[in-house]
Amino acid sequence: MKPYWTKFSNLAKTFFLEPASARPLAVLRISVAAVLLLQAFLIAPEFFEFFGRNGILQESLSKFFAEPFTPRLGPAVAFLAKYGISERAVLGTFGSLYIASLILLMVGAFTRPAAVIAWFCHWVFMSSSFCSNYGADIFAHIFLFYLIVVPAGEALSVDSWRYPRERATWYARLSLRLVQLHLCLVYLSSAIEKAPGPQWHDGEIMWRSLNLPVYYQFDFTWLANYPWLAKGLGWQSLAVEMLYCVFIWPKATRKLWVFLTVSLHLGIAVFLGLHIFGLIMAALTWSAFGWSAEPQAARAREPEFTGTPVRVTA
Amino acid sequence: MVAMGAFEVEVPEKWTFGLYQLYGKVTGASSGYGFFAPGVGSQLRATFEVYDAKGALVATVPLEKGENREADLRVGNIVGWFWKDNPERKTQRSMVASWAGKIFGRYPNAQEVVVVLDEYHMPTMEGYRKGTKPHWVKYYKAKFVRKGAES
Repeated sequence: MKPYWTKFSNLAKTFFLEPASARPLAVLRISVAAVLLLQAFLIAPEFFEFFGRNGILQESLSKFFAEPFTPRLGPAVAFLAKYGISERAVLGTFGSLYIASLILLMVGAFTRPAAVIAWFCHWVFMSSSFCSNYGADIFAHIFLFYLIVVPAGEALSVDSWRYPRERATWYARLSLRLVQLHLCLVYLSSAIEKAPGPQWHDGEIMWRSLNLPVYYQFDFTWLANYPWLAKGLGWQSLAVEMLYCVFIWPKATRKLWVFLTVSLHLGIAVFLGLHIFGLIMAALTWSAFGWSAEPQAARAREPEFTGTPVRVTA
Repeated sequence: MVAMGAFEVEVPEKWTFGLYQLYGKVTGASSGYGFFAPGVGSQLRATFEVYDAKGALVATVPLEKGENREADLRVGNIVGWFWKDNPERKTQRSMVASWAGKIFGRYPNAQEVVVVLDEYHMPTMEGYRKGTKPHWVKYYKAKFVRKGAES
């Protein structure tokens, strides 16, 4: 019994705690921040429509729909109005703070404080316009929180310039494993919820999602003449998600599964018009599984000195 | 918590004095991931008929401004909440009044705005092959008059 336990314990220790490069976490940081900056840029023209007290949903309704005990802009705007500070000033400041924190997070300057501010601002925006949220916001909220606690600033960042070379640490490995296991749970639970749905079995899911006006990007009505194709695409998507937690781990199948998953999400971005959702989901798998965390691999990517040494004489 | 959230296992608030739920909200760890599950439903569309003081139809406009996809998608999500309020219908009238207010803002000379919500009826692939076309069906209609214009 004891040797088995020792073997298991060693395996677990290697899996969770073997020193690793923070490079995949840095890629996660850069890609999530970049996608959220793009999202902010797209929302900016209608910023006050979504978050203003007299926006598409007025304050009383936003308050009614918001989850209890979550931070919202409405009460802050009402409080600061007593001191003569306008709603535009409050929202503008908050929005600017969010953008600045995302830029700092992306370049990895003051990474942890930037992650805290970006996460908090994002949460406030989510709570303030609760009815407009969708999957992309949920994933952004989750992974911005991860970026506070994981060492995402220890590679590919302004902060990491102070290190002579990339460090390999046990907490980078543990952090990466948490992110990876979280993604496996996301895909497994998502597939289990989808699997009993008849639309996923007969291909109607593809037919409906590609042709509903809300997702319509290109004319896919011709798909009705090829139900076998719609059926095949539905089953393929389901298989990619269901088997993600199995095939994403072995080296032999990892690249293939990263490719299939990233393709699936880019497909969602292009063909369903869910650009931000597709990009953020693709970025998550690409950063968590598409980059080697091995310290040797990280060092191997470092540029090597190839010039001829020159003796300098006085 | 991530696993419990993903598989939608609820923990009563009294068991943890609400701390579990609070942590779930703060970190997002208790989120569910059932997008497009078990299938794709229908869609609700909001359009607004704008009338001037003489009762002439000035414009028929959607709530979405069409500036970009992300913003329009979010507006569509807000419209979709009209359905989620069923069957209580506690806030439906307030929601459409809020949207109508935005349209009054866009058209300062409008005296009346009629909010029309349509539901999209999508045939199956087989139905489409047999000739059934997708179409919008009226779901809800409400009229709003600018304050002071009733008399």
